[in-house]
Amino acid sequence: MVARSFQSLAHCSTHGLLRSSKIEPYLTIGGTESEDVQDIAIETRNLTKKFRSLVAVRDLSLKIARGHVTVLFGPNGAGKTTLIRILCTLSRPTSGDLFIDGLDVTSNGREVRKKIGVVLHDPLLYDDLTAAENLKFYCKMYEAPVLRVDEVLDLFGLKHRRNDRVAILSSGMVKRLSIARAMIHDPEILILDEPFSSLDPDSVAKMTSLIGQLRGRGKTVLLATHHLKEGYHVAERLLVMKKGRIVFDARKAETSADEFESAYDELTGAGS
Amino acid sequence: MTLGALRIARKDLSIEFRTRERMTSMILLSLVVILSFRFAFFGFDVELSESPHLVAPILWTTIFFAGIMGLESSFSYEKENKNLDGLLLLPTSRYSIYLGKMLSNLIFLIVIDIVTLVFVIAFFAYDPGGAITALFGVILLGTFSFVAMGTLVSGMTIAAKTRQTLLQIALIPLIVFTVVIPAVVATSKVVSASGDMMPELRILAGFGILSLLLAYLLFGHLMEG
Repeated sequence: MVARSFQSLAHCSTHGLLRSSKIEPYLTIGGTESEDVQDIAIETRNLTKKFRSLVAVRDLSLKIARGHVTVLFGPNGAGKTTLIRILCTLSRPTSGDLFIDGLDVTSNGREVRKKIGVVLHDPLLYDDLTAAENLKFYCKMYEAPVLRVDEVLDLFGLKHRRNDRVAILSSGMVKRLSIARAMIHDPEILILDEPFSSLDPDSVAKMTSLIGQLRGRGKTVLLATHHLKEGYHVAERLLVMKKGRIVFDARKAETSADEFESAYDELTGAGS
Repeated sequence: MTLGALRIARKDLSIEFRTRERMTSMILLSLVVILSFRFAFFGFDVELSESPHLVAPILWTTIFFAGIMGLESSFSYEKENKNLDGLLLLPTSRYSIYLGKMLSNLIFLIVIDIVTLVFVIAFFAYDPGGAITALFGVILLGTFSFVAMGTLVSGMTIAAKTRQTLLQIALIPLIVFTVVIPAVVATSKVVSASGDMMPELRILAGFGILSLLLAYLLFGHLMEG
């Protein structure tokens, strides 16, 4: 399947052709569908998550290629966080299949958790422990070498604050420490939920730079956000989610920021 | 006991060592309860010949009050910043999380057991003499059974807004006949040096093991729910 250009996607969306995620189930970055499972980091097949009568994720089929930064956009309530929680094994889907690095998540939860690093809205750090103590705890739990603690603190520019309690760090530092926590076991797949939220402009710039570094290290990054500008800046592939479905899927190379913003507004009704 | 569980317990102890919030509250509660009983029953009298009969109920009332207080804050470290998600993302079994929390709760409550026993000996002029080992053995077994079920119920109520009330409502009926009464009766038998306490010890041990089994079966599902 050839990747569609932004223009054709936008055209389709205007005519309501992209309302079902089934329309673009196997679109992968790189222009063609890859049949080689080695190239696929994350794959969902007809994934659905219901909360009583509310369908948060609707029959979602998607493949995320290895070694790229994929950004999932969508307004509040689109289902991004629910999808992220399913992908990182915190929530079970109502139906459908999910594979991470070729492993079925439902039967290989522990193996899958070794392969992924996850950043959620909350930092998942203990306020009363220092930055180094938090990382050391997670490092030991992942059975990673303790030397990684100073390595990642250095990588994220936090070495000088290693002995400070998390409670006294700035929100930007906590966010970076949160990514350091997710990276402590050097996972191949990073799943980030709203990494730009509650950050000042300087911290946002540092965050985008960090994500660029991760891409440079060959990591697969799936990032969910409703910050269009920042998300577009770091993305290689753009996805838009609305009401539990993927309604837009394109490579960044095929669309300018303005074009993407217009399409996003049109698809989500954000501009109206 | 898995390595992951030991690391989780050690993390809880590190936090407590730094904040001292939980232990301070529990020790103060223990002191207040013991002093209240002391002055309610004997005032300022120094003649305490009747006091051994009161040791078991006073000891266990204090331990259970302090224990419930400790269990209420058992998962509070995991509620701040939603750290429970952090634990659930680790490549360890859900049961290891339960075991880790149970172990840290057990250590906290054993410290309270010792402190409470010292208070009872001091304020009620109780001399356990040669029965101290048996007495402490009964206290440890009762504490283990209480904590094994208490940690499971505390985990069940973590997401509830009224978790403190819910914990008490759910836990107390479960432990009245299985932990509270057997522990008090067995302790009374040790203090009075009369009677066979094996039936009570069997109930305490059996309930503790049943709690571990229930946690093994249920804790993962509770966390994912």
